Amino acid sequence: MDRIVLKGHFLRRAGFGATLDELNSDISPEMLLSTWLNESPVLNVPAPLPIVKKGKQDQSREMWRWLLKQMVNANNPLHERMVNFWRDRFVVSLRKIGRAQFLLDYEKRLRAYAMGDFQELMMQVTTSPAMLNYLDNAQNRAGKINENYSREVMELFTLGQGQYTEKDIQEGARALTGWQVKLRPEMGIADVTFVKRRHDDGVKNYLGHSGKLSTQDVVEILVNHPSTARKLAVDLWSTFAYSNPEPAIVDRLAQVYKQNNRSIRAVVAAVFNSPEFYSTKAYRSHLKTPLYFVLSSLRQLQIDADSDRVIGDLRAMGQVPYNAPSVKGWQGDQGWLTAPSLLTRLNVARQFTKEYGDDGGFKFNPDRYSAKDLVTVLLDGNGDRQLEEQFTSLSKREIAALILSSPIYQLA
Amino acid sequence: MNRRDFLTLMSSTAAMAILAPSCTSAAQSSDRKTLVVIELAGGNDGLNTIVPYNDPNYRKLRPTIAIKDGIPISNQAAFHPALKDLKPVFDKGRMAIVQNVSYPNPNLSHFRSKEIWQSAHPQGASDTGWLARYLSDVQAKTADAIFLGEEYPLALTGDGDRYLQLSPRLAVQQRGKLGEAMRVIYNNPQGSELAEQVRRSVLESEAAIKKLTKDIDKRVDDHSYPKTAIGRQFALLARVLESQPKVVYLTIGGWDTHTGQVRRHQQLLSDLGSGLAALDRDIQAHNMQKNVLVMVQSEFGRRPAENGNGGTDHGTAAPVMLLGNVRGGLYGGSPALDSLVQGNLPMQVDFRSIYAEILNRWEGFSAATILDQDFAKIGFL
Repeated sequence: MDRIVLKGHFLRRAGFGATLDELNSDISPEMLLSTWLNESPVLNVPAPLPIVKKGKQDQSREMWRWLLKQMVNANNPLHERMVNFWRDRFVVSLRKIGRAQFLLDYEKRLRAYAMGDFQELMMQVTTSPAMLNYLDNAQNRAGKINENYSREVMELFTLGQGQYTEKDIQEGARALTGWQVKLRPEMGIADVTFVKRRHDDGVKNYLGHSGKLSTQDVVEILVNHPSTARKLAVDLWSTFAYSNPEPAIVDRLAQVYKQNNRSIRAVVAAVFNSPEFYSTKAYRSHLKTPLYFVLSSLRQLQIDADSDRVIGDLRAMGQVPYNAPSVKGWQGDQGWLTAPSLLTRLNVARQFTKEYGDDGGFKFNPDRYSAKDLVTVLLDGNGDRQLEEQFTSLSKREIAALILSSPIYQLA
Repeated sequence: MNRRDFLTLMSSTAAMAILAPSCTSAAQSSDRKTLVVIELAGGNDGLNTIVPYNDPNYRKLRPTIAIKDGIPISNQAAFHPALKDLKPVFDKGRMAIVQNVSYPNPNLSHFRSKEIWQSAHPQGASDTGWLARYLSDVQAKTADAIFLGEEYPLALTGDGDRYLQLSPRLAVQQRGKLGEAMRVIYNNPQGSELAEQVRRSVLESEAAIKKLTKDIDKRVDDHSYPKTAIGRQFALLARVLESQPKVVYLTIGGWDTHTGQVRRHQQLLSDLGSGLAALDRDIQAHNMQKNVLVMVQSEFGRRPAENGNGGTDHGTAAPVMLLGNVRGGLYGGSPALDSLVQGNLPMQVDFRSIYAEILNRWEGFSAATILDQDFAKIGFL
């Protein structure tokens, strides 16, 4: 790969696409990677919103405004991608939770632990008001067992299907009892407490372990299970490199996880430092999700966007953040080869690059770029003849729209 | 393009559903059945839809928003006047109304309640939809179910691929030189396989949507669908019925009427009533009156007592309407306005017994496989 291609590929995977300045700078992907991996995250999550009876929708909009800005303007795009990875893996949904406060709290947890010890992250997620509410573990109490979280935490968050029995689900649910979410309107926050008398204190038999197991024990057993290491390896590789990794790669990454005390940072570093990461098999091997399409367009062309309009566009394409159709999240790649996802992009591409009056919602300055710059920033400098022949009759705004709508730009 | 590629492409776009009638009409079976589920999202006010006009409690509970000029369909029940187009359908015996439908321990959150209706699992995990489980048991293909709307519903979410999704608002607005340039790009095969899939999906979807938009406009005129967004949704629904899918799911939003309910509800019901009536005419004109069953449901009804803002808050039991080849009439008893439970209507009919009857008698499929238990027959089929 030549320099621009290599950097374009790296920044598409380690972030939401490169800006022209990033591509043209002398800093190498290796330097960027090491900076981003070793920085401690800046947590600028807004202060808790007051708990209100009316106006919950306004609060959700406020949360989305913050979230979109955060994703487009991130100083550490890799950290942002990792937070997004966890958001997609540990699904919680605003439609069920109904409160943006829970999600801001959730963001704080994901952001603080995104690159840390997987055990700490799992504990943070498990005891978050958002997850306790979304998968009903706040309703799970001794004598009134709710298995929802116990099942999903194994199936989707850690071990993967087929690695546990129905009995493990029931015993795990008993161990996970006792948590309660309380709204404290005066503090503008949801409070999580562990209520001892709601906890099933008996002996449980869980995945080969036996004893008076607690939530901490469940989390510890799950994150140290070999299946968890492998599932995490597959998921991280599939997201950042290519789908269906070879068994040797999975083994290698699972080993890294084990030898580094479940360090997420270490596994992520291993993914990006693998020679296969820069292979043709990885290059442009994913279809951008609607969210990714929007974020990369806005970021790469430095478009100033009205968040409410962006959320409307995402809704039409079927991917509003924190609104996945089920706990499994959204389908990747091929799942987005749909009419709503693809056709809407063509309209959105024009929306983003058009010239508006004061109230248009999007501000794009085409004077910053030559036609050649646009090919560099959006296509790694690899425009083809067919495409570039069309440029002659178009304005720069239209050239930008044309590239954003092109089939090749839809690939990540 | 080989056959497999072609089929993948078709099912990945909306094209299959649209093109199916013309290319497979010879293979069409005349007794293939379609279930249409219409979800009134937001919680429709059942009491002001099927009005208990002879119950003195009704007016006491709703001093300002009670419906006074309903259209009687029995000694107890009347249609909201906006549903006037449905009266002839009801009189012909093509409409059954099951009242007091809910589920045990009602939850008044929109999300949770929708999740319960759509998963048919009132307790515990609800990560698959009841229709998805049914469709996967009968090994349905991607094009056998179609969702019309914006946010894909849990009802059709299962372990397999997504079913088709269509929205009439998708037409690409590209004119002038940019539009021309885009056509050139999209008419040239792409080097990368994934980009080529994108290119073909876009072309097929676009062609399908264009054809569809034309068809819908004509349909709206031919069968007098209301000339509103909801009316066009119904015309689109009728159009996709021609491809004889097993299931069509349509979501109509806007029913969360906490304030100033009277006018908004009137408009929504008028669109719904004339949409359903036009759909029924359309279905008969296409000689499908025995093949299509329509069920209209909402995640909950509103509270019997009106609130302080001329609206109603989240409630529990509400009527479910069924149209088509049914035993017409009223089922499930009248709303028990004299014996409310914490201000809400008590349940008489578990919604799962309606699903069970549809699965057992309409689809000829053992409902207990999908619903985990048996339910008593109501008798509308």
